[in-house]
Amino acid sequence: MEINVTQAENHTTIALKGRFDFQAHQDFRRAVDGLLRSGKAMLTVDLSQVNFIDSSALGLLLLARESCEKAGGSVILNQPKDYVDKVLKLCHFDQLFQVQR
Amino acid sequence: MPSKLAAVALTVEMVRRMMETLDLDHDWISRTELCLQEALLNAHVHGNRGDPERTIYLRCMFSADKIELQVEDQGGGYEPDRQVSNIGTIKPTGRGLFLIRELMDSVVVNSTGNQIVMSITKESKYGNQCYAG
Repeated sequence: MEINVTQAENHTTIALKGRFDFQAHQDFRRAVDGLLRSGKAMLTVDLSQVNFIDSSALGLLLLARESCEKAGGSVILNQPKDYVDKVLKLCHFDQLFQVQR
Repeated sequence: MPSKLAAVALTVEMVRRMMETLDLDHDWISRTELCLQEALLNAHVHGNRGDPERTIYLRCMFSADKIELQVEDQGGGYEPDRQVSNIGTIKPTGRGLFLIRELMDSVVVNSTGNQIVMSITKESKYGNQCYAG
C-alpha cells in the first residue's frame, strides 16, 4: 500500500493506494502517530484509490479516530470505492465516521 | 501452509489469481478474497496464536456454480458468537467473522471451533449485485 500525506493549514489528508489491510498496520500507525505528535488531529483518510480493505484496516481507522478525538480532532473518510464502501456500511462505519462520497 | 502473516498474504494472492484465471464472477472473487483473508488471519492469530511452527490447512473448491473454502488451524478453537458481538461498537477488533458471515452464503464452524467451511453458491443472497471495486 502507498501512503501519501498532504498537509493544509489545519487539516491533514492521508491518501492510501492499493490494499488497505493487515500489512499496512505499521505504516498507517506511523503516519497517524507522526501527525498527532506534530499537533495535527484533523484528519481525512482518502480511500478513493483503495481497492481492498479488511477488518484489520477497519480496526486501524477506529484507533486513528480514537486518537484524533482525544486530541480534539476528528477523522473523515473520503470517497471510498463501491467495494470498500460496502464493507464500511456492513460494519456500520458510516455511523461512526463522517463519510464523504 | 505455515502459520505466518507472509504466507497468509501470499496464499490470498494465489487464490485470487486462480479465481481470475478461472474467469469466475468478479463479485464472487471480491467476496471470496476478503473472506479467505479474514479466515486465514483468524486461524493464524486466534487459532494458532501466531505460532509460526503451526500449520493452517486450506482446501478450495471452485466451479461455475459454487466456491467452497475450508480453513483449519491447530488451535483449541474459539467461541464464534463472541467475535460477532463487537459490530456497531468502537472496538477495533472482532469484525472478521462478522464479515465472513455477511459476505458468504453459508458458513459452518465445527464444534471445536478450529475449522470453518464457507461457500458461495449461484443462488446467492446477493443476486447479481456487484461488489467489485
